[in-house]
Amino acid sequence: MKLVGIAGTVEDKSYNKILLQFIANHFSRLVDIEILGIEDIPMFDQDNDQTNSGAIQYLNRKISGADGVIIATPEHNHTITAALKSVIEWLSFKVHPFSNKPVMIVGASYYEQGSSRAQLNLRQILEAPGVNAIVFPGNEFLLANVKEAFDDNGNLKDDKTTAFLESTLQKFLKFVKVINTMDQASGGNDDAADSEDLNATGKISTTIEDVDMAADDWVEKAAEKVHAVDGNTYVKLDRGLLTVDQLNYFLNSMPIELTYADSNNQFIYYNKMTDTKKMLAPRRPGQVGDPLSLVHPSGLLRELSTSFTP
Amino acid sequence: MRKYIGLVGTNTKQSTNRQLLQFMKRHFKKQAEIELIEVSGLPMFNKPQDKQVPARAIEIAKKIDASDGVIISTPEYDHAVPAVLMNALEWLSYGIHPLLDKPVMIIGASFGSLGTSRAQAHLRQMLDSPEISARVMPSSEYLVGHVLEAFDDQGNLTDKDKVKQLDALFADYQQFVEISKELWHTLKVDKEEVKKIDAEDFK
Repeated sequence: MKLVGIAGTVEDKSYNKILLQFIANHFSRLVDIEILGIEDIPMFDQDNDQTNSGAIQYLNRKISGADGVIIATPEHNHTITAALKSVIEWLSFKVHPFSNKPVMIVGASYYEQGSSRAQLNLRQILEAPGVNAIVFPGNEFLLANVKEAFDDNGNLKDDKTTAFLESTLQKFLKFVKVINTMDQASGGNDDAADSEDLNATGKISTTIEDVDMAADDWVEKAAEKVHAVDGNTYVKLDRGLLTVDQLNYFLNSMPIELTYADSNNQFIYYNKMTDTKKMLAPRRPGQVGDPLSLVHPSGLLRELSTSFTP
Repeated sequence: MRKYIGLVGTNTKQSTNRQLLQFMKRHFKKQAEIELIEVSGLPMFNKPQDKQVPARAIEIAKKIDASDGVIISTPEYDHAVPAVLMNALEWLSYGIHPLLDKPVMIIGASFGSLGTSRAQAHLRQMLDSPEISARVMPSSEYLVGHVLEAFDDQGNLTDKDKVKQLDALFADYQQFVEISKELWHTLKVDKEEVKKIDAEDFK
């Protein structure tokens, strides 16, 4: 699953930017959140349509391509900022990327109210017909007295607040799934994908038992356990014989990145043709053996887990 | 004669909200002077650390300060006040507070039948915030729906009932401006509150 995050402000120093960055960093294991800036978006002006400008098209594309959106809003004058309102006006004029998009609202403020009025107001704006977003109901996250809330590293000081934020985010991720499933016309296969056991808790005939799947040296330990051959030893294939070295050479010279996940959803092989950093879908050597739930954020995984299963 | 500022809450050239204010200016010229002010052209509000408020905002603030009251005409975008008007109000409540205790009347015109009802409620809420603390006339919603048919070629409201309603509302507003002068007890507290907010912003 991929979310985008927007802090509704163009101030240089903003606690709502800090809050959003914290959510993206702290919960990166749960979900991938890309933060989008709105500094370059001009004031909405219907006489001077700038929908096709780079800045607006960038937001349009990013939001359209995301599974959901998180907006962190400050409160000015009991409402959201003009800067955020202007962005929404552009994105409800000629293009409508928010349409049917699940949106979660959070907010931080200097005072006790914690942006409560701005959040309500934003909800109303996002649900206007031209915007047509699907705002996550209930689950308000208001961060009051924000000047005291973060430590020097931009982390929330209060563990209870962090835990509450996490449970809210978890619920939102479920909400995103539900809304997007509802929205997919007649896909039909989603339920099957959802019921996939991505933690690889099952067992198939080739599962190597009693080796810690998450361990970085799973390959070495599992190889030892099953006495796996390597080097110049021959392996008999469907029609031919190759040594393990030849097989490696062959697979690593493929111009594509190959990943093998077995039908128990355990990731057991990739062709280590290049450095992790250079890979399109980066894999680390230590990941091999992991259940798929540890390898990817879950959205991307759905396709992989179903299409690569033998 | 009283002097009012008419704030045009849009940056669109062809705006019925501007037209509505222009109509009021002509229609009430014997009772009051109404000067129209545009809110477009201000930079996007970004709470600048250097506390510099744009010259144009200061100019608008001075005019509001010198007036007896403000009439704001707002369109409705996405069930709310347009960003351009929100932006002006942000600048007009950052270190400067010309709308503090100023009698305000809200009007609005729209293409559809609802006539900006949600935007007006939104504007009311903004004007009620401690940073602005304007004195908005209660029970005074004035909505003009279906505006494309509402004005004739000379820019006059064609619907006699709408004109009658506006006459009554404006008479009430004149009275409201008078009454507001008696409501001075909170002014001192409001000013202190605003000072506190500014101090927090400028820390």
